[in-house]
Amino acid sequence: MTNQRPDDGEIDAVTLDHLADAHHLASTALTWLDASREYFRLPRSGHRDPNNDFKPLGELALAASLVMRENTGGQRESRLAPTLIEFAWEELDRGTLLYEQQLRHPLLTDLMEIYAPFARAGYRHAPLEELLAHLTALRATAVPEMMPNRRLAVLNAARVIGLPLSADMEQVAERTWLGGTPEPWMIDWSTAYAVTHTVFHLTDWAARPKGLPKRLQEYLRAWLPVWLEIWLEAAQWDLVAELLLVDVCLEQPGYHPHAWRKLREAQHDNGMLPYGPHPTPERPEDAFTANYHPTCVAAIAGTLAVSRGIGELARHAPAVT
Amino acid sequence: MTSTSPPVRVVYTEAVEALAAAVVRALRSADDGFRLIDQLRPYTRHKAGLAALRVLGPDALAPFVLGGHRLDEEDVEAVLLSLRVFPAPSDGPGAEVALLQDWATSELLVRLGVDQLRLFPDGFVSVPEQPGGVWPSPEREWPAWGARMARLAGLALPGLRCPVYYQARHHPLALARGVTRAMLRRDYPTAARLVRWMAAVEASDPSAPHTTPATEAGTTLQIPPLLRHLQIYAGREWRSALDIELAEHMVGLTA
Repeated sequence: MTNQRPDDGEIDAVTLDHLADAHHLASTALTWLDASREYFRLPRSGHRDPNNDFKPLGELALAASLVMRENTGGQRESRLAPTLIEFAWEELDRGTLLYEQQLRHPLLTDLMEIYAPFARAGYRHAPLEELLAHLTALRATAVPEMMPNRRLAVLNAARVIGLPLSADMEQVAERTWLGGTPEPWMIDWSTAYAVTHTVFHLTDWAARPKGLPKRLQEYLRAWLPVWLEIWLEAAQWDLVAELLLVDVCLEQPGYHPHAWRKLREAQHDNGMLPYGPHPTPERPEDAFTANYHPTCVAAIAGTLAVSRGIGELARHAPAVT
Repeated sequence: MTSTSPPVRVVYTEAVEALAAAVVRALRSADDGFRLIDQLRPYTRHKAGLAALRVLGPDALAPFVLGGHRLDEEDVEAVLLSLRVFPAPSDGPGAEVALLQDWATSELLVRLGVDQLRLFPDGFVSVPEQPGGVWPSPEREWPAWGARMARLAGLALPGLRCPVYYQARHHPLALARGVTRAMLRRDYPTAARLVRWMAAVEASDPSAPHTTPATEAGTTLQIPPLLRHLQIYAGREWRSALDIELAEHMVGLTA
């Protein structure tokens, strides 16, 4: 069975232009996230929907925890990220709100996913961890009615927190859309998101590229450039940012400098990355609701691209004698 | 009194579609006789029939090359007339396509037994070594590369060897990316043209990557499901139907 890649098409060199664009994207995105703190706050009273109310804080914590993990930003980023995660932790009553919701909804997995980046950054809640250890050991949580890419999110959260895994991640990956290496011309918008998340969780957000099986890496190296073109043309900036983040999760990223440039051009001066081609709502709170997610993705993707890029540059730098 | 005739451009477009339809039917069945001259008859008022012949170029000869039909003298005359009435532009965007299509037409006519001297008494005809100068990089500029290959898909016929064919053969990943992009953009005519190149490469080279059943990593495209998909989504456009039909012929998918 041949697996020829005679004109395997990626630019292997890291370009300084793309590093500058990625750094700018991440740095200004963090600035916007920081300036948007008041919109991240939880409602002070009333019923809380554990599925949705905590999600923005969880994404903020994820972005901040990855900036802290990589520690390759400038001084400003290094200072901002810990204050953002501290803010989010305070909003969640230092984990107690997650704990209470988890007690109430024992089968709900979102809370564990939200907790994981805090745990990564050293914010721990002992009763919540005790509860999670109990729940994740039950057969009831080992057979969730859940899409395989979502299952990977939960498993990766457990791994980050340090809980035993209830399933083998590679086996779950086989059942994802990406795992089937399907006709690349059949992908659609929502399936593309399933693909990006499969990659994020298997590699723990680019920390372990080898967690993505070789054959899936080859598949993505072949078709990711096409998908990028498709969603660049459609100005789907959120998905473009996620696809670029996928690229950075590969053992051999393609880097795609032109896509970084377009993403940077799409970013507003204040650092907000619009979700897609539609006009941004005028009221700041509506703009926040529409665009906090892509801006978190921009912060993560830019940070990881800079981190990978610097690593590559260092690897190829001539030895100092 | 106003004329009820459709505008000339519409007549010409319809003539191309009608000729493409006739060629598709001829490829599907060798039972009924197929003559180019019969296809031109409805267009006595315009030169639309000849223009259609000129536009389809080598594709109009496919029933004789692939479909088992016999080319007769009147048909040869019609093809030569179309070349004289509509000479190839010497520059502009259509020049490269016209130049190469004329070369392909002459190759096929010679293969069908027509004397080369009759075709180009002035001594035309060798394949340009580098058609149209520098090609976009199939690695970094695969979208532009694919767009050019799609424009030149009329050359994707069995046995035709020219620099464009070798572009297709040597850059299967760029070709597959072009197909994938066109499919996702629902630009089925472009997809059909590029799949036709994939089929031409597969037909000429049993060891070409496309012939492997989907590799485990899925980094090559399988031609049959693409053609079935295109047949359903684009088969009603006769020019695309012709691209699909020719691709099926080349990879042996026809009944």
